[in-house]
Amino acid sequence: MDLKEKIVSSYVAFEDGVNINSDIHEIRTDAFQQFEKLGFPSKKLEAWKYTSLNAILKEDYSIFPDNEKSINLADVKQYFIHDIDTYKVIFIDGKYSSFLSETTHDSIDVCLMSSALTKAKYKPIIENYFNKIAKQDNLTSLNTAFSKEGAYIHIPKNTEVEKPIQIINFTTGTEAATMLQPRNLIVVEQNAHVQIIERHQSLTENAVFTNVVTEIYADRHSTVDVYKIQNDHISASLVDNTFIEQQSESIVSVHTFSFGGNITRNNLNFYQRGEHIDSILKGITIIEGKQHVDHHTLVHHIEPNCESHQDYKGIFDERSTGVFNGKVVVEKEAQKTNAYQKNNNILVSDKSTINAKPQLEIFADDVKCSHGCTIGQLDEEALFYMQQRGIGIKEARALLMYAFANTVLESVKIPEVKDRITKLIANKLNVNIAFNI
Amino acid sequence: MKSNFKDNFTGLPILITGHVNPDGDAIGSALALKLLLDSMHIDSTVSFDITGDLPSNLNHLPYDLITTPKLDSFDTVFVFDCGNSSRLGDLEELVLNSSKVVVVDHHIDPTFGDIQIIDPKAASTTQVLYRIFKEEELPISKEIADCLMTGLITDTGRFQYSNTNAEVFAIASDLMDRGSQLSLISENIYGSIELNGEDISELAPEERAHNGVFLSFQYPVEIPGVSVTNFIKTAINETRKAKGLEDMPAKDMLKMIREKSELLEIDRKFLSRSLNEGFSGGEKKRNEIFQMAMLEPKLAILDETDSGLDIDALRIVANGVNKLKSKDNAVIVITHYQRLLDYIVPDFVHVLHDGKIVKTGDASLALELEAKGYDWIKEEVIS
Repeated sequence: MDLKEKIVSSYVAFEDGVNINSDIHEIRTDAFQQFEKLGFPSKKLEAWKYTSLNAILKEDYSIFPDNEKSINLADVKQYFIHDIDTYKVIFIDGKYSSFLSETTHDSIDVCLMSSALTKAKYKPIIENYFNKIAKQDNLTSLNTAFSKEGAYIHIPKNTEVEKPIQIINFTTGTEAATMLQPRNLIVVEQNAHVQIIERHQSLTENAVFTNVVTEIYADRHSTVDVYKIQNDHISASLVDNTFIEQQSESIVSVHTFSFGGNITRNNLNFYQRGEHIDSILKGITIIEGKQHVDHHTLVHHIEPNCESHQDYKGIFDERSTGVFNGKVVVEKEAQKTNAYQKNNNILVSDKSTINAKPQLEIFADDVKCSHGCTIGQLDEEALFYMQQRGIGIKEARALLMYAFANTVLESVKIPEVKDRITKLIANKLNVNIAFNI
Repeated sequence: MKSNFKDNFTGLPILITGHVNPDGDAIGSALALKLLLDSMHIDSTVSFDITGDLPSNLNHLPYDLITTPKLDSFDTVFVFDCGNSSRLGDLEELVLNSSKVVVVDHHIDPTFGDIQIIDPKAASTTQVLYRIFKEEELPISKEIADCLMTGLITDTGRFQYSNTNAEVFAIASDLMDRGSQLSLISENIYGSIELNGEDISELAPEERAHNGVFLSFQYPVEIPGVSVTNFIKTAINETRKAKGLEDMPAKDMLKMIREKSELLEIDRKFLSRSLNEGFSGGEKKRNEIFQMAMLEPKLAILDETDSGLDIDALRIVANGVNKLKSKDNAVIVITHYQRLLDYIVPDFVHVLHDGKIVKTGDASLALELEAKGYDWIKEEVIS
C-alpha cells in the first residue's frame, strides 16, 4: 500500500478522535477530498520540478502515533532558546506536552489548536481565520484534512508580547517512521507585536516526515517576527507551508535557517492586503552530504505603496542540492511597489547543485522591482591571504562563509537567537572560532 | 617491420596517464608526450587519479595541462610508469575500455597494454621515452627537455642511484644542451627552505605563518564582511592555538590593537571596517604593516610595499617597519627603487636576477644602483 492509500484508508480512524458534526470537520473533509484527488506532488508539477519526495514517501509511516511519551527536559534543553524567558508550546510526537510547555491566557492566548478548534470561546476567531489563506494544494490540503493539533496564538490589539514564543515539535521515534501534520494559527491584532521561534526536532534515527501548515494574520500596524530553525536530524524531512496575510502598515519578517534535515521544502507565502506594508523574507542555507533544501517564496503585492525584501544565502557542499524559486506578483493596482529580491549561492563542491529561479510577474507600471541572483565559489585568493596570516584553511573558509551569510543574521532582533544561529553555523562548518564580526 | 611510436597518434581521442598519485617520472613522461602532441596540433588529455594535491616540488612542470577527462571513452591511451592496470586507480575502467593501450615503462612485464614499450634496464620511463624521441626524430623543445629531465632526476636520485649509467649522463647532457635547467629542477625537487633549523618547504601557508613567516601582499585582498579587528583577532588566536596557547585575553588584545594602530597612525574607525574593502592604496599598505605589527613575525617579507604609496604614507609605513625591527626578527623588503630605502636603511642589499642572487652588498649598493641602473650588473653576470 503506498502512502497516499494508507492515509486515505485510515481517515475513518482519524475521525474517531474528532467531532465530526462540526463546521471544522466540514473544512477537513473538503480538504480530504482535495488531497484524494491530487495525491502527493510529483516532479511533473512545475512547482516541484527540482524537489522529489519519492524517496521519503516510500517509508511506512505511522500516521497517528498513539502512545503518550514523555522526555526529560535535560535531554532536549539544547533545542530550546533557554537563556531567555519565553512562552513555549511543545509537542511530542504530535501530542501536547504540558510538562515542557509554558502557555498563557493572560490577556493573550498562547495555547493549543485542539482547544481552539473545539471550545466555544475561540469560535469567532476560528471562523474568521482558520484555513482562510492556506492554499488548496496537495500538501496543505493533506494537513487541513488532519488538522487537529498545533499552536494557537492570539494577540489582541495594542499588546506588545514581551517574551518570544517558542513552538517546538519533537519526535521520539519509537515508531519505525512517523508522519506529523502540525497546524498552527497565529492572529496578531492591530498595533500588537509578537516574536515566534519555530523548530521541528527529531530525537531518533528513524524517518520522520513533517508536513506543517502555519497561518499568520497581521492586522494594521502590527509587527510579527518569525524565526524558523531547521537543524533537524538527517533522517527527518520537512515541508513547511506558511501563509501570511498582512494589513496596512504591518511589518512581518520570516528568517529561515536551514542547516539540517534530509529534504526540506519551505513554501513561504505573503499576501499584502493593505498599504505601506513591509514583508521581509530572509534565509541562510548551509548543507552538505545529500541534503536538499528548497525555498519557494511568494510575495503577492495587491495594494499600492508596499515593500518586500528578500535575501537568501545558500552554501552547498558535497552532493547537496538547493532550490530557490522566488515569485513576486505585483498587481495592476499595486503602484509604487518596491520589491527587492536577492539570492546568492556558493557551491563549495563541484558536485553540489543549486537551481535558482527569480520569477517576477509585474502588472503595474510605476514600481521598483529588483532581483539579483549569483552562484559562485569561495575566493581562492582571499583564502590564501587568510592562510598566510595564520588562519587554517577550514577556518578561513568558515570565516568567508559566515561573512557571506551575515547580511541575513544582521536583521535578527533577538540577540540570543543570533548567538544560537552563529553557534550552529560554527558547528555546521566544524570550526571553533567566534565569528563576532 | 617495426612499427613507429608516432603511428599511435592517429587514433583519437587520446588519453595520457600513469600510476595513481604520480611522481616526477610519471608526470614528466606524460607531460613530455602532451607537449609533443600539442606542438603537432593533436588534441589529448592528461589525467591521473590523485588524492590531494599534485606534489608541490614538481610545480616547475606545466601542471595546468593536467585535467579531468571530459569524455567517457578514448580511442588511444598512453600509460607511463605503470605495470599493472589496478595502479591506475579511478582511471582503470576508462583505460581498459579504450581500443588501444600503449604502455611505456622501465619495469619488467607489465600485465596489460596492446603495445608495450619496455626496458627494465632503463633508469626511468622518461629515458625510454627519450630514446623514442631520438629514434623517430621527434622534436625536443626546452619544455619537453625539462619534463624528461624531471623523470631522470627523480628516478636516479639526482644521478646517485646505481641505475645511473653513462647513457643517463649522455641524455642529461643532451637535455641541458636543449635548455633544460638541471640545477633549478633539482633544487625544486630536492631543495628545502629552512627557518630556525626547521624545514618549512612542505608546510601549508598557515603553518609557515605559525612558524613566524609573514608575507605582505603587493595587492592585499578585499574581504567583505570580515572586519579588520575580527580578522586580526582570529589570526592571532589561531596562531596561538597552533602553539597550544589559550586565546589572548580580550583586554590584552585591545591594548595591543590600540598601541599598534597608534604606531601606524591608523584611525580607530578604520578597524571596524571590512578588511581592505574600499581602502585606498595607502590604507591597504598601512593595514598590512599593522597586521605585521600585531602578529610579530620572525621573518617578514614585504613585497613591493612602496608601490602605490604617496610620500606621507611611505614615511608612515617605513616608520612602522623601523620600529618593529629587533634583534630577534628579520625583514626582507622587495623593491625596485631606492626611495623606500631612504626611510628603511637596509643591512644587506641583494640583487636578484633570473631567480638567483647575483650581487650582495650593504646600503651603498642600493644607492649605486639608483645612480647607475641595473645594466652593469647584468653585464657582470654574463661575463
